[in-house]
Amino acid sequence: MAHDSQAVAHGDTHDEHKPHGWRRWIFATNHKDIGTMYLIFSGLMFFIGGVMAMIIRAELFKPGLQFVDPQFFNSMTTMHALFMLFGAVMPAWTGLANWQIPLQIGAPDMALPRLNNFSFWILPFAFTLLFCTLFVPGGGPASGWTMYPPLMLQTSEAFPMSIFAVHLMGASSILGSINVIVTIMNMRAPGMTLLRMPLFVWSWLITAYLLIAVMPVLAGAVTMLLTDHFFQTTFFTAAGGGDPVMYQHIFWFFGHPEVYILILPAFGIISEIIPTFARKPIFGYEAMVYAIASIAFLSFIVWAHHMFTVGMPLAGQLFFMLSTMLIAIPTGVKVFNWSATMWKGSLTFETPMLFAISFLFLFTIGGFSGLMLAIVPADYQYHDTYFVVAHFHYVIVPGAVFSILAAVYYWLPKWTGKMYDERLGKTHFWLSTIFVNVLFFPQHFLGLAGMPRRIPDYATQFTDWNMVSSIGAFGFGLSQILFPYIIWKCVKSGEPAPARAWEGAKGLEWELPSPAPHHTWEVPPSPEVVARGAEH
Amino acid sequence: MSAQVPADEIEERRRRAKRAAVLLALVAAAFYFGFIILTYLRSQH
Repeated sequence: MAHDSQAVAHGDTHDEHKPHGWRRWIFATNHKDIGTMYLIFSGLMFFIGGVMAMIIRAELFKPGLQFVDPQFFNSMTTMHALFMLFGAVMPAWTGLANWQIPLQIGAPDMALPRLNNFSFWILPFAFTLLFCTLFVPGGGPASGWTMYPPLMLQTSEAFPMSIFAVHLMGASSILGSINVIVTIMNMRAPGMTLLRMPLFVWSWLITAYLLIAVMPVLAGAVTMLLTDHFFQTTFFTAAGGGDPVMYQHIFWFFGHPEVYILILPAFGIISEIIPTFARKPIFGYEAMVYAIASIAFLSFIVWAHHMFTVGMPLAGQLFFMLSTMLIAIPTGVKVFNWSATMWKGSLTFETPMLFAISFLFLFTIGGFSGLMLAIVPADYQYHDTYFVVAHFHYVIVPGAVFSILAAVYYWLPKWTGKMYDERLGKTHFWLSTIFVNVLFFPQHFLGLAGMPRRIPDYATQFTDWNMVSSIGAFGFGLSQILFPYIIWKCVKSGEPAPARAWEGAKGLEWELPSPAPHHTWEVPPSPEVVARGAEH
Repeated sequence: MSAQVPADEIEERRRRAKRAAVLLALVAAAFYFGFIILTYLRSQH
């Protein structure tokens, strides 16, 4: 057995070479250590961003100003978005990539381990800087995560700190993406052809290309904001011949692919989990790869659907409306293939599978409301209302966040060598699924009724659904506390996990012992093992 | 059951990895400066 040879080759020899104490983490170059740090960092940011969300929902529990002043409320909406998108979801994907990509392609580590260390350690500095903006005179940035000028240019002393923090986040993402692409293209084991790669690896490869194309665009946009603010340039200042709408085009040229950056790795995760618990190969492997690639391509040509109300020629409106609707085709292919994979499978419903099925239903709701927003005349009504907030959060929370939770439950036995408490995992799932709907579904009604987003106070007719939404938020927030407890309990007292923790699991990572030794695949797996792991 | 990779192939792979990383960094830099130049040109209209 391959894992026996791995155990002999690594478990008894190199495994003891790992550094100990703080040096292990500060100078980490091992992909598993760096992956762990990314995941812990992501969890921390998730809870900080979550506290900000609780402040927002507490303020919105009833009309009138309750707890915070409007400026601080706006800071909270801005910081919540930045912390959740750049601090929680993206680092979680990078952490999962670090842990899983080398294991899944039969590589001993990431191709550029020191760059890997650097790209992680940028993040704590970036987010400390961003968090500190709350304590400078004038408060943190309050213009929303889109940072539109001229509003963003009115930010006081927090302005350069926020811009520098965004630059650092972007640099970290670009370096991480370079590492992922170079690793996948150069470090695959013999026999691991591109069309044998697990779909998680495929989804990350495509995501990394997206990141390299669009993160520099965001960096360019905020650099120009910086020079407009401090060096009297007028890129986005109408009085000097600049164009604030140009900023919106540039931002959304980054921002729309960014949404796909957040969700494409989720498609990869779901494509790993559903076949495992359906005990069937994924239906239409190649179609799944092409669908992810098509979605990534289309994400570059739809950006102005965020700007219909800004005003644009009719031809532009039609182009962006129709190109946005086109995305439903490859997305539909994926949803169909996941459903077809489950069809007549020997399904079991462990926690990762429950989260994956929940993803399937709830992400589809987010997709449908996205289609509604793509229709120009409808968008004129929905724009900047809570309908958009509901749509976006249905995509990101039961989409990206549930997939991350599913991935952690799925691979936790491989990482720790222990099984988590299934009963607690299922409790976590049911609480999360019920409360996420209580939280976000009423926001569709609020938006359709005309409640604007990013306001600390609202007209009294919106009170009831806001109360329901806030109760959902508190329930969802509290139920997430279970998650670190489940992981802690798993590490401390979980039952030992076998090498193949899930009966139906396929892939090279399951050929290794559990927990995966500190060094793995220093000797690449043979083509026969690769072929066995790549049966899809 | 494992496959040995010859040393010269590992060296070649290392070179390819470095080349690819530099190329990707240049692509990122091109997007960064390209969009700044694009915006500058537009603001000249």
